Amino acid sequence: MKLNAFTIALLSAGLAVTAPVSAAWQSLSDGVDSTTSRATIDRVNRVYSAVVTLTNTSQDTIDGPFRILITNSSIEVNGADGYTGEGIPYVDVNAESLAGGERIAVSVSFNLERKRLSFTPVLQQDNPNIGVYAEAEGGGDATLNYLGMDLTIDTGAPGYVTTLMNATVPPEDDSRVAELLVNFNQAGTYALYARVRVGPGGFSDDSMYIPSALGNNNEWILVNGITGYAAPGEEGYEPDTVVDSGGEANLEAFMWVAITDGEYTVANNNTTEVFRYASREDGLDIDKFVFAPAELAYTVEQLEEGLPGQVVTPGETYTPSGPPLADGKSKFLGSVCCGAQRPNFEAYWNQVTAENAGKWGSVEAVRDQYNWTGLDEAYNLAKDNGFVYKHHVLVWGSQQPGWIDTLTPAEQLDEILEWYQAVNQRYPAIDFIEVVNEFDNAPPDGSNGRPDYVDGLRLYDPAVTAEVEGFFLARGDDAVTAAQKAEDYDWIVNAFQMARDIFPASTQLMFNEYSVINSDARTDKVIDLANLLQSKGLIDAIGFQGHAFSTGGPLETMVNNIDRMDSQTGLDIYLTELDIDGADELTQLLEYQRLFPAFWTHPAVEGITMWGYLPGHWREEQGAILAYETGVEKSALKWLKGYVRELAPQFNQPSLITVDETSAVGTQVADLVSYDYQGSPHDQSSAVQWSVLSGNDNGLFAVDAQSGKISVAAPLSPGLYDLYIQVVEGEYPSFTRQVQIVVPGDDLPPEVIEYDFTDGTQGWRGDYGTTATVGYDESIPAALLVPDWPSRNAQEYIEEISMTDLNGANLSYTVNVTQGQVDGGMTIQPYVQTGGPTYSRIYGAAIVPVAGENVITFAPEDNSAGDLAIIERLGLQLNGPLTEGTDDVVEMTYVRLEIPTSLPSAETVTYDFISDSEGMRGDYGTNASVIHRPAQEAVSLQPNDSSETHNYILGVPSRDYAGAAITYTLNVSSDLAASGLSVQGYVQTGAPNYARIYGSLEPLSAGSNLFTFYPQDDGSGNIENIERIALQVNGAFVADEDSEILIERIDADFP
Amino acid sequence: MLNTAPQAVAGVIANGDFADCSYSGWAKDTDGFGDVSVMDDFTIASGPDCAAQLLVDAGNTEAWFANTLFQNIALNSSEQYRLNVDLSVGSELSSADNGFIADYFVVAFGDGSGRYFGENGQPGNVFSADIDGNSRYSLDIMLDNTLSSFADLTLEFQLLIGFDEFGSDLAGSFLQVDNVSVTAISDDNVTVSAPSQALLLGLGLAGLALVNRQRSAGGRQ
Repeated sequence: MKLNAFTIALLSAGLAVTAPVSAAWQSLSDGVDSTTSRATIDRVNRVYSAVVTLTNTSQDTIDGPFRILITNSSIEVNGADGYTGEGIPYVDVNAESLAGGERIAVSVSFNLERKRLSFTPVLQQDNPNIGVYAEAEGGGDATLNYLGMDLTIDTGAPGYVTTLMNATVPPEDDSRVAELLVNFNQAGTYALYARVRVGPGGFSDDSMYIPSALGNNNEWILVNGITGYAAPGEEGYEPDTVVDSGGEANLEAFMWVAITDGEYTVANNNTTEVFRYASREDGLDIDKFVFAPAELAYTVEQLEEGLPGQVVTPGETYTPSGPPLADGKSKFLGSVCCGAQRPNFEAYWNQVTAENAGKWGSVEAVRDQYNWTGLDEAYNLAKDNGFVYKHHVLVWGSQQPGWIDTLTPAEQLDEILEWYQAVNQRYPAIDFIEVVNEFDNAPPDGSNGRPDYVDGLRLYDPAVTAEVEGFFLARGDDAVTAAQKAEDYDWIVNAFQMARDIFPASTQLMFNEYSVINSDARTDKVIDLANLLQSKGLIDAIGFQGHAFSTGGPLETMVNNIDRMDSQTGLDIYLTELDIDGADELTQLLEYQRLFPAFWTHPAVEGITMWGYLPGHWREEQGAILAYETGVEKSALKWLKGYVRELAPQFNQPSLITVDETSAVGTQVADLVSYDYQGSPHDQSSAVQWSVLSGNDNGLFAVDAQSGKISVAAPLSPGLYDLYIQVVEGEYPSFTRQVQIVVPGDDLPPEVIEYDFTDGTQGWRGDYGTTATVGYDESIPAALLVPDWPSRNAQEYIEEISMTDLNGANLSYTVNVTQGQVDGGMTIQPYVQTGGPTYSRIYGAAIVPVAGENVITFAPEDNSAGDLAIIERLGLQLNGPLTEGTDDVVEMTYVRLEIPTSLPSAETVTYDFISDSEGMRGDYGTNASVIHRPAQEAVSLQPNDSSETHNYILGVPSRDYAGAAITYTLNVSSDLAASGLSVQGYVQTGAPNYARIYGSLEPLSAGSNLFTFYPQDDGSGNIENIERIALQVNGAFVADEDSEILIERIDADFP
Repeated sequence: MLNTAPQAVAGVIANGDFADCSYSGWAKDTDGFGDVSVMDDFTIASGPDCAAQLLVDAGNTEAWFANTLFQNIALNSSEQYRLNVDLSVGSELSSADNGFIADYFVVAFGDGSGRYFGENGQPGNVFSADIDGNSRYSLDIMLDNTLSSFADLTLEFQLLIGFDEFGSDLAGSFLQVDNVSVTAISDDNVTVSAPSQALLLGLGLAGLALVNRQRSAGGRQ
């Protein structure tokens, strides 16, 4: 019987929805109906009694346990089963679950008073999928047990804990430590989330410390570079976003952060645990922590509102099998370890570096107290498995002990020596030591807030300064330059001398630096320093970091600088901190394929260290991880495995496929041929799988999975179609090739890249190094360009794109501007920008906007430096200063980039070497030669004796090669590929001068190699009279039928 | 809608029709103190057919909260039972009067613990309504077998004083109870379309005498 038909004051039906969140109790509203009976007199117990009846109106079972909060009660509850942390009485519900349609009734007793009984029942579910909430200042399921004197509580809404102190080392006492007593209802493993706000200082306001475990321990874990997802109501909030370890910095907005290093185990039900946290940088406001079941995922709304997370669909998991990729190779391929990067390490990598654990500030945060925990794990992992161990790092201008600055130089020297000796004593078999890290970018010289102990280092041998000056004077530097270099490098020499004196001879010494090979200037410095150290016998190798922010530019620049380091120092070179970004898997894969072979096959590069590969990676947000938490490998890692192990299949592609618009569906347009890793062609019985990874969204073409035949699958329209195709054999994919298919026509549509902001900011952000930020308004939808006018007069916003040729491109921005901004004098200026190291910009005109919508178009023109061909960023700049409207944002609703489709050459001349050598031969005057291999339909290149260069030429009719593209298809045996050979395409005039126009160095990899050479006019007119297409092999080699370089095909495309 | 009257084959209520014009077979309670009232909390309505009459919130009553009339009953789990009762209610004031606060009544089963249950054996009650002027109810309700499992089963009629946040309206209400029966029925003769059905007649009870009282709380301490 439903009694809610009667409406009297004593009845109070309906569930409240705003009950406080506490522990795992979740207030239920949807799907549950509630009625409350009028009070009766319990004449036995002399109390009022009312019955709350709950009906599950849904078809789904709701799991208990349940309880009913008695809120807003006019009369005190009698005999409550308990009270919430806020003092609200509740009664337990004796039901394990509530099936769909099921009804249960619960009696609630109240004291007898001669007044109207009214109350609001709130049904709560003890949902284990809800996190345990611990307010930073105490509250929720936690109480504040201690607050360090350097921490303060802001009691606003929300209340939060913050600090005015900056300290870059772990706490040495409890002055910046807060301690919470957290109530856990259930035992289990909990992941840590936090609701924090990073201050305007960005990277100076975005770190804190969390404990390695619950309890009274002081093993601190640094949480730095905090990124997350804006909380509801905050700028940048995007609904339904799952809070993972990615996200954005979201300056000055509370955001939810998944702290992947924080995972805690609670052993027993209904226990109270100590949770300690500590500040590091001022400007970070800590609102609350949530301990959530580790196996669940949470959206920002679920965390914000105390709702249960959802079980992550187990999905595919993968456990890799070893051995390490470079097992048995002449060079190592390693990674940082351990922590989040520990799983499956032995299956991939054979060299170990500790990411943070080996830094001085991590080991000896408190003077003379050493924390070796992380370093022990990394070192032991290496030694237990026979892997190379490389220590990172002894001397640096970052993450150093805070107390070092308080010492005199003499005391500093003592401490540095102690540090060196302690490392040596504990780890007696270190293979490599990065003695100095970032000698140019971040020396310990006291600048920019860095620690200052270079004078301490100089005391080790004060005579070194003069020696360094003398060294550079002897090499031809003028006195001023030599003196400057002495000041810049004398402390480094001392640091290395100390290392040489303390560590065993078996330990190789090196330095490490970033943004080296993309910068000629820094490469010069590296060479200078390396030669200086080498003159004293103090260095064994050079390390360059190779982070993604430094490798986006032209490969040729990077390879040339590696060549220069190699040829001008003779030292082994190590790529020490490699990571490669990718907004999606294909982008990352293609970038891996572009970069990795060039580094891996370079003869001077003796080893590569990945700077992590699993979630928790410092560039996870940029897509730099190589595998997911489940172990499932991303495309780049799948390819990397086959490439490094030299077990990947290969395939050649036609350089260009032309298909008539009228071609019928089913018309075959290409027959791709693949080979196994040894170069043997596949046949119909081969277990290979062809697939198109991208470029066929409209389904115009079909690739037969078994045969590799490409056919027309739908009516065609004119255009240039780029299909990214790979073939997989076993677990190993080939290189992914860009197969271009052109359907000729009069009006080829351009390639269009659009940003409509229907699903967030789509990667747009404030420029690096500025305080401009990008928020989001879903209701428009628009990316909100949020300026920080007080900081600077130009507010810059960028979108990072893969390196793209924007010659002929058109860019348009649609933005909404306020009247205040117009009256305030704001102008808007589009630009495009190259990547590092120059970050050159090409600007459009500054536009005076009108209030409301503005469409700003921009057709960038090259700056004569060729920068327009290597654009990596789209940009929009707001120019001030403004006299009003300074608090307004610009709504960017649409961005459109149109890149013209330029068809490849109209004529293609192909040399396929099917029946003979087609005139290919060794160059005149050398002993290089070719042998036709009919079975392989290729010519085999025979060396020019023991020479380092070998030239092969193909006589062609004299022709103008301006605008031509020459594509070489080679097949290289694995041993020759591993020997570090490279090739260069070139064209050559005839008599009398036989002038050559060279292309770039191309590293060779095992199996199929395809590269295209675009001859450039050298200004002498030579390009108009080319009579030879040629190839040069660099490096000595010996060839036979089992070990050779084959030219399978040359395509010359002419405009 | 009235159902076809089933054949009554057994009765478990004693003196359900108050034929002897007494509370014989019944128990009385005032505010949980038991049968303590010496005033007019429980009277017998006379007339051609005697009935139990409970009174609250009137000057000549003692209850501060409620008067309850109840009787222990025993049900056989192998039988199905139905409850029949005729109820009449009336109030000194009605919703047309200023200051009116409705008193109310409840029909329920008890289990000896003090809690009340409905005809389905679940916490709650069988029937309840405000008293706003005069009304009459005839209940004909099928009972769930789960009630037979209650070791100390009672049938109870409770008349309660209505309050606002400051107290009651000090205007009396009565509940007359008559023709109470809990009877086992033969399945062969049952033609009941629903497990329970309360029949609300809602007839006006003009002419019923209501004991007036002084509008003063002075008699109570």
